[in-house]
Amino acid sequence: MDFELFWRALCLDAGPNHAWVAAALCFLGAAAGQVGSFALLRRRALLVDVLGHATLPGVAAAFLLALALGLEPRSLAWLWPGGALSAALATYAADWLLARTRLEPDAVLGAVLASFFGLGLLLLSHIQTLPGAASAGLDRLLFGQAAALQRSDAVALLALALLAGALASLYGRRLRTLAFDPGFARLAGFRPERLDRLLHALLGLVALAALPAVGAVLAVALVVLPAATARLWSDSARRMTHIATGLGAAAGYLGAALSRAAPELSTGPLLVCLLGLAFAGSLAVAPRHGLLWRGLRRRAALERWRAERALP
Amino acid sequence: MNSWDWSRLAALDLPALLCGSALALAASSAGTLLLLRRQGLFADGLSHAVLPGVVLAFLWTGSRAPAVLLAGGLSAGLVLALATRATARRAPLDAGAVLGALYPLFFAFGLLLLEGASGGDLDLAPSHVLFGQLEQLAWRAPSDLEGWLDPASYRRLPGLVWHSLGLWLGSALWLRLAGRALFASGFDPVGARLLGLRPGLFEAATLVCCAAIAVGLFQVGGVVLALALLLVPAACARLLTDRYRTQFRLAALFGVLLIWAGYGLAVFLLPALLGTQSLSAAGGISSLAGLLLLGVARFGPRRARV
Repeated sequence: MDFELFWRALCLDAGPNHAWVAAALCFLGAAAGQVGSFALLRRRALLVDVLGHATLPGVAAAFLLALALGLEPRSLAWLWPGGALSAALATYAADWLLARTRLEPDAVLGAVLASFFGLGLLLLSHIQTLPGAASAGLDRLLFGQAAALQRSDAVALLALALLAGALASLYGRRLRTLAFDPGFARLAGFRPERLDRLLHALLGLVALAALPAVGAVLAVALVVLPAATARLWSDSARRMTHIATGLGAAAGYLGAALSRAAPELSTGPLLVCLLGLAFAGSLAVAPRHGLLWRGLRRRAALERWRAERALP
Repeated sequence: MNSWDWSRLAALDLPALLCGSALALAASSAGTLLLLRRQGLFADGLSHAVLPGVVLAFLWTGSRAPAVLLAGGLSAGLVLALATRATARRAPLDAGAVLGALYPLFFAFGLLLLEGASGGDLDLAPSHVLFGQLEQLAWRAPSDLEGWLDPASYRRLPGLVWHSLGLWLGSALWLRLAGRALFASGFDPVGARLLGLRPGLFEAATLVCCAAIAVGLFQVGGVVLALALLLVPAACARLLTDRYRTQFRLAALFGVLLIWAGYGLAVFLLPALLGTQSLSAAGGISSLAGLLLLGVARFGPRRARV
């Protein structure tokens, strides 16, 4: 890792391409944190994992199709619609299984994830055996490689993240209401089914945007970790969303600089470990829910109780 | 492939199928236990979280012996289970959210270790973690009848084959010994406690058993195969029967069936149709698993929620 380059990347002085990548990752992190806070409150953390993994077969199929048609197969304009289609199929399959069978949601989501991602790996192993350099670069979509993003891809990523963030801001109040009280949301005329579908679509958008930069495998952490960290700092849903958004943005910016300085490492694991540090730190010291203050409060309460009991 | 090549079959496919079948048998019973106890989430968690343990064990000892990696992966799985439990008890987050935050974190940490420490000379590449190495287990198979009768040639079988057979035997023994107690404590913890059993102890032992199987699956087939084999056979069996014992048997049947059919699909059928080299066996098995689950849910009896 090159510390000087890292510092220059932090100051956006590491080439014009890096500025775009940093902006893209920053907004991606912000959108992921924002949407993630709604997903966490609505208990959809595992669905994000399924959506992230389930983009792979669609992406691989779109790649093969473009190759067969003689087009440029690595363009996101091809890969994203493919990924969106297979993620939508996975959501549909999970819904169908949940409605039709007595299996627990955990088991259904895990099984759907494994089968879709397995299909993706099957297609990917076929792509890797193809002759020539045609297949190079597709396995970056597994763990992400932000430093290798083209400027056009970075701009597309930025646009998708902005779209997800704008939609989430527009519907934020309704999504929060739905998470806390679906019954009241229905009475207030919000149509819970439609809002749920919107939330799933937003999660899908974030997973797609995360694909080239963070990878299919770890997209879930980008969504869940900032929101879980923010939950430790605040008991107000609004403030939780704000904290998660800011945290995601900061992690994205830092992750882009790290990825620029250490291009041999995949961006996904780097970014997730950064967010993990924030989560672990918050778990230790956050004011109300952190372990340190909890322990101190508990000890003080015990002392008080002992003192009171000692009185006649 | 145009003609049957028996030496290839014995050298490459026999060890893979042996290893896969033993692991499928072990995984189907572990998955059934997890599903009956509504702990399907742990299949997700365990299959991902063993990675940092496996990598650290390798980096620390420099050995790739299955037993060393098993110890590492097992400890990582247990750390995940304990950390999830402790965090969900204290923080204002439900268990799903905590696990959803922690297991990608474990996985990412493992990947980072792998990429940072390897520099390319480790033959446990990051993509290996996803694809597994089922189709790459090679055995210098004996060429004549005399060799097949000689015990020495079986000693050359890849270590992972013996390791998976051991895991299968171990889990089968545990199930045989503790089956009744597990049954009682799974369905009725209070009643089991009244009978003098200790449900907490059995739960912990079962979790260790499942973690060991997850590590074995992970070493051979990667994350995806581990998840698919833990969840899908058990889920299919759950949809077909209401009987405890039958569920275990059906799950075992489905597991072995998936291994053979998926391996055949990825290594023989698809390459023959497409005219390419063999594809990822873990991918083939997992995709077939999805089809099986859809088929059972569509056509099986007893599928409704009670």
